[in-house]
Amino acid sequence: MRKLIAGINMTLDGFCDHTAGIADEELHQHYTELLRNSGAIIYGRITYQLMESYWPALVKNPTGDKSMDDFAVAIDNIPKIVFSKTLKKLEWKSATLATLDIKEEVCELKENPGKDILVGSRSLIVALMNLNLIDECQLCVHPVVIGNGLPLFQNINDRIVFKLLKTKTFGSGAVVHYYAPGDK
Amino acid sequence: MSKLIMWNVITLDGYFEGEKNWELSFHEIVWGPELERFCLEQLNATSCLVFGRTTYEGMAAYWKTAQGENREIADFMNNLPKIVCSRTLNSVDWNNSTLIKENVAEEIAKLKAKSDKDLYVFGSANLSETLIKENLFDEYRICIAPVILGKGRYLFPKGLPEGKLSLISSQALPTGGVILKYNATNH
Repeated sequence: MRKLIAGINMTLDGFCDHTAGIADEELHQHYTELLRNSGAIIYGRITYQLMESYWPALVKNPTGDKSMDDFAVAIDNIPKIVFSKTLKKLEWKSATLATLDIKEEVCELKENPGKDILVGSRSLIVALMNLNLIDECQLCVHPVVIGNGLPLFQNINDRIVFKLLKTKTFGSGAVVHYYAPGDK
Repeated sequence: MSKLIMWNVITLDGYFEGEKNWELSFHEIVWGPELERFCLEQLNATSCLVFGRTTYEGMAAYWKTAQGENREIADFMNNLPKIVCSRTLNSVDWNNSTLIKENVAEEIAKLKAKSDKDLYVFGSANLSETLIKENLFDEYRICIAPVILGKGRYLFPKGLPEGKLSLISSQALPTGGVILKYNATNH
């Protein structure tokens, strides 16, 4: 069965605003590889619209920065499934709207053959953690404190204990923590 | 000159304790021989511990009467010089403690200048907030425990000015904790 992997950036003080981390070449390469190794990515509306507003344009007009351009192609290619109550139609060719509720849609996705599924939206990650559907969490902790913003782990219902699989350190000082669900 | 170092264990959601004071059961998740060794090495390299009132009182009550396993740590905690920063306390009676009622920044600077080993702050969230805002920490050592608690008290208070840190090292513990050491860069 396919794994559902949550991948997200976080500041040391727990915020996950997309501008908060250090988005350098190494980070882009890391996420490009993650996208290439995955079969699909699921988004909430906000993250989807954020991605859609920026990356497809880079595929048409590459920046010349290889790590950014590679990421643009990878994110353009990967099938995207978007959970939204308000969006009726998606412009991005590789994106489709989810038709079932999150639990049913994710369970169905997991049962289909294919590479692992990614989830990169904060709201969906929290919802899926509460449903115990996340198989692996790759949390990139950036060496910054920002004081305010969108807290990542909020509205988690029960205490969750993870098992640390490994860590990966970047030159910027960001450290990815790879976690699997642990025992309570 | 020595450094002022913050040491704390925090959850993934940024809490250094649960909702109530001293709700620290999540520490048990990361505790083990490696973390104990780390703590002992750290205490061995300590010139002085710096506390706010609440942490001081709790630590004093605990370590003065600690029995059993953590003998070595207890000996360090009871014997190391300790500074307590508090406007409301009038006296301190844990062995080798000194009370600082005002001019905390100045007193800490003096201590740094005359110590060859480093000064450490454990817990002490209110004091730490002041020290962070006044850029007095030279290093942050944070052990991220592999747990989301759901509720608790934040280590880094909201409203802090933005700051970049410089990673010195990252150490994964067999228990799943990750010890991250950072230099403060706005010095």
